[in-house]
Amino acid sequence: MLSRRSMILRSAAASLAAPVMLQPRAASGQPSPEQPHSAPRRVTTAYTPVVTLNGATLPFEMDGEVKVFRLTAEPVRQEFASGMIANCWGYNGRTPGPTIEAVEGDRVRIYVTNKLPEPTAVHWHGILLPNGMDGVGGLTQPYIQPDETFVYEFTLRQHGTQMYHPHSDEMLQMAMGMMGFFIIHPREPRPASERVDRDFAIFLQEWFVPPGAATVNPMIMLDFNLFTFNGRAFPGTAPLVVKTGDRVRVRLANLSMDSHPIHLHGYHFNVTGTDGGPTPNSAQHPETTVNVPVGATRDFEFIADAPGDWPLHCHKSHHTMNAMEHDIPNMLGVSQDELEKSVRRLVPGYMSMGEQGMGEMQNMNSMRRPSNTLPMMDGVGPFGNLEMGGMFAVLKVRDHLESYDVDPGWYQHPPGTVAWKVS
Amino acid sequence: MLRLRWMVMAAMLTALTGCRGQQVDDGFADLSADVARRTGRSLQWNRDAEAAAAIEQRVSELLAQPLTAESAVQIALLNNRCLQAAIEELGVARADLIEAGMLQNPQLGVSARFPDTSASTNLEFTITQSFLEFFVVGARKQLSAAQFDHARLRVTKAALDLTWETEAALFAADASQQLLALKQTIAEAAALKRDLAVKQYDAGNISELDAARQRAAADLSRLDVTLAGAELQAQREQLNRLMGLSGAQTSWTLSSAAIPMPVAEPDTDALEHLALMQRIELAIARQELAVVDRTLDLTRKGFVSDLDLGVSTEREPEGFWVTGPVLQIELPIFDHRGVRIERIESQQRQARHMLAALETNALSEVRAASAQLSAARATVEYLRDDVVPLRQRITRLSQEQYNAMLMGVYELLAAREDEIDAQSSLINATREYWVARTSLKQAVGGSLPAGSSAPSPGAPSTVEEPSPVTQPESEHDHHDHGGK
Repeated sequence: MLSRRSMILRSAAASLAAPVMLQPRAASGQPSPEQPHSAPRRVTTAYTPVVTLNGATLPFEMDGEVKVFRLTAEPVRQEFASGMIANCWGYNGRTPGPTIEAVEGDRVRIYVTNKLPEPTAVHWHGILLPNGMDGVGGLTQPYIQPDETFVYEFTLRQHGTQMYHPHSDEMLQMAMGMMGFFIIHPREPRPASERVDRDFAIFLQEWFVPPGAATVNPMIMLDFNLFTFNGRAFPGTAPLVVKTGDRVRVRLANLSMDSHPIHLHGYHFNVTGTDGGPTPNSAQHPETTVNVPVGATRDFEFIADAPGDWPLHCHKSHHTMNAMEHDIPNMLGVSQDELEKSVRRLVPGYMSMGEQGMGEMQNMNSMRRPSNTLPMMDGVGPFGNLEMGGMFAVLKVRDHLESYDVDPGWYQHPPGTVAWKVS
Repeated sequence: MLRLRWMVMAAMLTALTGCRGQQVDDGFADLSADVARRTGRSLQWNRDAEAAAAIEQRVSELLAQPLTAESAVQIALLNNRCLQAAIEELGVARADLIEAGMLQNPQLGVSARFPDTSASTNLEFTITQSFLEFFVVGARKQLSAAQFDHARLRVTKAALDLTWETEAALFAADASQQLLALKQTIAEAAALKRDLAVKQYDAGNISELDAARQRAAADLSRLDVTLAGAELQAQREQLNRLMGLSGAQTSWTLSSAAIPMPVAEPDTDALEHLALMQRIELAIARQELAVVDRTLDLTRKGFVSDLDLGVSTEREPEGFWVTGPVLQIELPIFDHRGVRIERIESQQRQARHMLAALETNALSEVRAASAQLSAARATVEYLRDDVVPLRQRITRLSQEQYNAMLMGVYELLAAREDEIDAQSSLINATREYWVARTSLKQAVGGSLPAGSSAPSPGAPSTVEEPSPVTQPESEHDHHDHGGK
C-alpha cells in the first residue's frame, strides 16, 4: 500500500533519472518527444572508429541531438569465404549485423524493421536502459511481427563493448546469425599516451551447414562444422593491419554455444574490459589467451612493438578447421599403399587419406569437393601451406605502412631471424 | 493250252510291273526354305561324309569368332545330332510315300498233292491280285503325301524349337558371365574393406570386434562368386548340348558387343495375324485335319473293302489241267464301314476342336508374350535411364565428400557396391528382355516383322565401365607435401 507521499517521492526521483520511461508508442512508429536529462549531453564523433573486420559500421542520422539508427532484421546470404555462401539470418544484409557505434551520453533512437518470417525483438546486451527498452519479447514489449517496425530509444550512460541480439525464438535466431556489436566510446577520451590507435571488433560465431548444402541448421547444439570471425572463415578473414608502436585494442564478442579461448602470437596483452565495463588497471593481468565465455565480450590491448605476421586464432584447434566429419575411420598410421591401387580400380581417381595426418589434405584441395563447401584447410603463406580455416586471422605489424586499408603483403624478415634447416 | 495260261499270267505280271515307284522329292529343300524364312538361318542334311565335312568346316569357322545369338543358332542347326535324327524322319516318310505309290505284289500259290491211289501228282497254281488296289492306290498316295508334309512340318518345328532354345540359352549364358564379373567386383570391394580393417587393427586404430565385423561382410560376397561361377558353367554346358559341341570345341567365347534394343516393338494385331499364318503347330494341326478329312472322304466313297481277282490252274491227278478265274470278295454282312465312318467323323470333329483350341491359344500366347516384352522393355529403360545413372551420381557425389574428408572409405566403397547392384539388376533385366523377345518369336512362329524391329538380336548389352568421378587433374603424389 503506497502512501501519497512515497508516490510523490518516487515520481520526483524518476524525473531526475537520466533515461525516462517512454510511453509505448512503438506500434505507431512515431518518435517520442524530447525528455529532460540530468547530465549534460554532447553529440560527438571524436573517437577512433572501430574497425569491424570484414564487417561494417551502421551509419546514423541526426534528429536534433538524437542519433538515429535503422536496423532491418532479415534473411541474408553470407559468404563465409570465397566458394561458400550460407543462408543465414542477420541485420542489414549481413551477419553479424552492422556495428552500432556511439558515445557515452548519446541519446540513440533505433528503428527495427522485421523482414523475418517470424516475430522478433532486439535486446541490447549489457546496456543500462529503461526496462521497456530491454527488448525481451512478451516480457518487456510485444513482439515485432513480420513487416512491422518498432523503435527503441534510450540514453547511453556507460561505455564499453556491448552487443545486440534477438530475444525472440532466441536460440534459433542467434544460431542463424542474428547479432551485432554495440560499442560505446567513453565521454572523455583517454590521455594521448593511452589513446588506442587501432580498435578492432571481432564477433565469434559457430555454425552447422551440411556440406553441399547452404542453409544453416539451427538445431545443432554441439556438432558445429564452421567457425567464423565476423561471418568469415579463414582464408576469408581480413588481416589486422597495424603500425609498429600502435596501441591496439581487440574487442571480442561471443553469442555461440561454446566459449572460445582466443590466442594472439607474439605478445602479452591485458584484458581491459568486458561487457560489464572497463577493468580497473589493478585488476588487469597479462595473458596470451583470453577465454571469451558465451554471452560476454572481452577487450584486450597491447602495444604492437614487434613487427611481423602474428596469428590471432581460437585455440580450440578444431575451430581453426573448416568442414570436416567426425565419424570417418581413423587411418593414422595405417599403410594403405598396396590397397590404394585396388580401390582405384573400383573408384577411379581415389586417393588414400589420413595415413600421415591431415596436412596433406590441403594438397588435395583441387580434387572435386561437394559444391558450396570450403576445403578443410587452406591458405598459402610465404613459406608454404598454412593449413588453417575457421577462426584464424593474421595481425600484420609493419614499421612502414602505406595505409591501414591496404594489405601490406607478407612480412619481410630481417636476415638471420628465420628458423633454418640444418639437416 | 499251257502257253495260253502262261501268256495270261505273263501279261498280268507285265501290266503290274509297269507301275513302278516314281521319283519322289525328299522334301529337304522345302524344309530348309521354311526354316530360313522363319529364322534367317540355313540347315544342312548330314547324310554322307561330304556333307559331314562341309558342316564341320562351317562350324569351325563360326567357332573361331566370339559367339553371337546368330552364330550360336547357326551352329546348333548344323551340328545338333538330335535335329539331324529328326531330319531323317523325312527319309522315313519319303520311303513311306514311295511305298504308298506301289501296288501290292500279286500272290502266287502253289500246291502239290499226292493221291495215294495213283502215281501222278495234283499240282495247283494260283495267282491273285487285290483288285481294289487299282482304285485305291491314287487315294493312298495322296494320304501318304499329306503324311509326308506332316513329317516335314514336325521337323520344321523341331528346328524352330532348337533355334529359340539356343537363343534363350545364349542370352542366359551372356548374362551369367556379366553377372559373374560384377559379383567379382563386389567381392573385391568387400575384400578391400576387410583388408583396410585389418590394417587399421594392426595399427591399433580399431578394436578386434570392429575388424571382425568388416571381415564377416566380406565372406558372404565370396560365396556369391563361387555360386555365380557354377551357374555360368551350367549355362555354358547347356549351350554346348544345344550346339552339339564337345572337346576342344567347347572353349568358345561370347561376343561382348552390345546390341541396342529396337526402337519400337511390333504391333500386337500384326503379330496375331502373323501367328495364325505361320505358326508351325497350327500348320501341323491343319495338316492333321486335312488327313482326317481325306480319310473320311475315302471311307465314305469306298464301296468294297476287299476284292481279290486272279487266275487259278490245276493239274488233276488224271493228267489234265483245269484253269479258271478266281474271285474273292468280302460279304458286307456286318456294317464295318458305318462304324468306321463314325469313328473317323469323331476324329474329324476332334481335329477341328484341337485346331480351334490351338488357334485361340496361339493368339493368346502372342498377346501375353507381347505384354511380357513391353514390361521387360519398360524395366530395362527404367533401370538404364533412371536407376543406374542415379547410383552412379551417388558414387560421384560420395567421392566428392570423401575427397574433402567428409566421408570414410568404407562408405565410399559401399556406395560403389550399391551402384554395382543396380548394374546387376540392369543385366538381369536386359537378359529378360531378349529372352522375352525370343518367346515372342516362338509365339509368332518366326522372326518378328522387319518393319518395327532392329537387326536380329545378338548378345545383351555389356556392363558399364566405372565412370570417371574426378575431373582430369594432375596427379598429386600424396607423399609430397606441396610447398612445405
